[in-house]
Amino acid sequence: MKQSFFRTFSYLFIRAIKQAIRPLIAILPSFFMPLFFFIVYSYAFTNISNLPGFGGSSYLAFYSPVALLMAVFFTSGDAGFELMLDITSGYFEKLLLAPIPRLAILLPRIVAMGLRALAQSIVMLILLFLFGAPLKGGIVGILLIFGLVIIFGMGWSGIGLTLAALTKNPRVLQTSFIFTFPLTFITTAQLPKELLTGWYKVAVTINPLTYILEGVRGIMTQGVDWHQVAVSYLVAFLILVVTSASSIWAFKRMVR
Amino acid sequence: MKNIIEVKNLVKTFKGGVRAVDDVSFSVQQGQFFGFLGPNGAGKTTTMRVLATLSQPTSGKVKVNGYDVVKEPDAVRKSIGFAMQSVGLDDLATAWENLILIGNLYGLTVLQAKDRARELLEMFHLEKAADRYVQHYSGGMRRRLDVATALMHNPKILFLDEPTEGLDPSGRRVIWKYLQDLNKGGTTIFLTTHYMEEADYLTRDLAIINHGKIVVRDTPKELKRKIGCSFINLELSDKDRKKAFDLICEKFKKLNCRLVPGGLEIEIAEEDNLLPAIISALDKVKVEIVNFNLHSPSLEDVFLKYAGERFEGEEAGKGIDPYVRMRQRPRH
Ligand SMILES: Nc1ncnc2c1ncn2[C@@H]1O[C@H](COP(=O)(O)OP(=O)(O)O)[C@@H](O)[C@H]1O
Ligand SMILES: [Mg+2]
Repeated sequence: MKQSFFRTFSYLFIRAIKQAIRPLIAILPSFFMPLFFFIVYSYAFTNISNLPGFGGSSYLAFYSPVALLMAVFFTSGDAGFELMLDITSGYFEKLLLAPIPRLAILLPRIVAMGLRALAQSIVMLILLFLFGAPLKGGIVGILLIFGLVIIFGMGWSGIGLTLAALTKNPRVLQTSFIFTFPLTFITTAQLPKELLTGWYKVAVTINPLTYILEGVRGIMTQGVDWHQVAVSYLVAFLILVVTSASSIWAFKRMVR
Repeated sequence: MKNIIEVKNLVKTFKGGVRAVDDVSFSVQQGQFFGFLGPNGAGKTTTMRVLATLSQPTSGKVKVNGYDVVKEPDAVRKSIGFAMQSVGLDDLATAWENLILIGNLYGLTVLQAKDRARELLEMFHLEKAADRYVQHYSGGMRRRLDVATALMHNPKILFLDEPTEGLDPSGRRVIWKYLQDLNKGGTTIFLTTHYMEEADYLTRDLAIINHGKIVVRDTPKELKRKIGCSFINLELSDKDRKKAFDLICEKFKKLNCRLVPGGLEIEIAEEDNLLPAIISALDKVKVEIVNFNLHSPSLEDVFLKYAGERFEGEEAGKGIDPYVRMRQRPRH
């Protein structure tokens, strides 16, 4: 009696993509903010990179992976908002009314986020490259970056999806951003680990985002170091597993 | 005719202890146009949501199209369409996209979905706006599109929760016409509405629910007949009102007569035909009748009789039939 999972999945996947790019202008802020930080920081902190620990690369090179990931970070937060939009508009109940597998309502959103992260990092990489960012890892490096942001984008979207399903409250979702956003700062985004001290260094070390960032940064500024790549993939994958599990749990709880 | 909906001892209690549906049992025959009436908060929406698998019953047994709503929800979902009380549409999609996607989710191929969507857009007078984003639609257009999405898969049973709320009269007619045709074609319709003339016009079987319990169940015709009397409304000048009232109370002792703002209202049994006698009696004592009308009981009278006490609950104990008190409210 139920419709097939894959058919349903593909229909709702296409819808999730459409929802994401409508209106088209709404996707601009997720590019604007990272580029803004990128340009301001690159010029303001040009001389910092003379300090030891930067390994001789420019601050622009050092910061460009941050801009790339920040873009993905912002976008993946949208998944929760889009689910929330469906819940508040009543469309979500329309979907529940259809004879479709319940998880085929949630999972396309996560996978769509992978595709969006990919599209976004392609654009960001081109822009950053035009500004003079390095790409030491070459073609293999670029593909590795793409793989990493896809996993990371899907993984990070699970946080918003979990909160949306759990609270069904747009305000809570909005507020949660205040807690997740600082995570992007408590990393090696601004300074290399060698220059950090005390509790801050500890916090940066346990922040999983640090490892994603270092993975992309390594590929862009140093070339492919397989050990570092493996670590970053592992962390991204763990994030994906944990947040997917939590969003599925919260979702099932909601539609029960 | 077989029963396509069967509800046995349905109870739905919400967190916090609200017993929205309180041991309700009823059935609806296949092909019926069924009206489910009741004041706000009576439990209509809650009942429908359980029937449509959106909400789990606390206890009781519900079968829709022969399937159990708890054990075979997907079979129930395939059998029904549900236009909910609040419209649920994808605002960032066109009417066309809305319909096609819903069609696909119910298993229609793209080709089938396109044909059906074209048909429904035309039926609901939306073909011109079909390619516009729904977010720019007026309330009436959204409502019509919402009903259309519930019909994409040609459901056997259609649930409509106040589908004409907020529609202008012409939009309402469009829906009425379509619902009647649909019902003639064999679709069972389960309708809630606040508009009594709508229920009277469309339905052939009625239940009135109040405080989570079904208080009466019959055909509209039978319910009106059971009221057993008609009403004469006399419009009189202020000085004549009291005089006329006293006269009628004296001369027609059996009649139930009461003062209402601007005149009198008299209940008469259908078969008595006392109107000419009353008018000539008043004429004799030179009471000037500004205006009068005689009306047989409407569905509104039925509704007020069975579900009207909500407004007058506290005073019902003071020896006045709550129904009588209700009737003294100005009509609109
Ligand atoms: N989700 C809910 N949680 C708690 N109470 C609810 C919920 N939904 C409805 N109710 C309560 O149940 C009662 C019946 O509501 P409802 O079925 O919406 O009435 P109707 O549709 O007849 O106006 C009301 O008292 C309402 O406040
Ligand atoms: Mg309701």
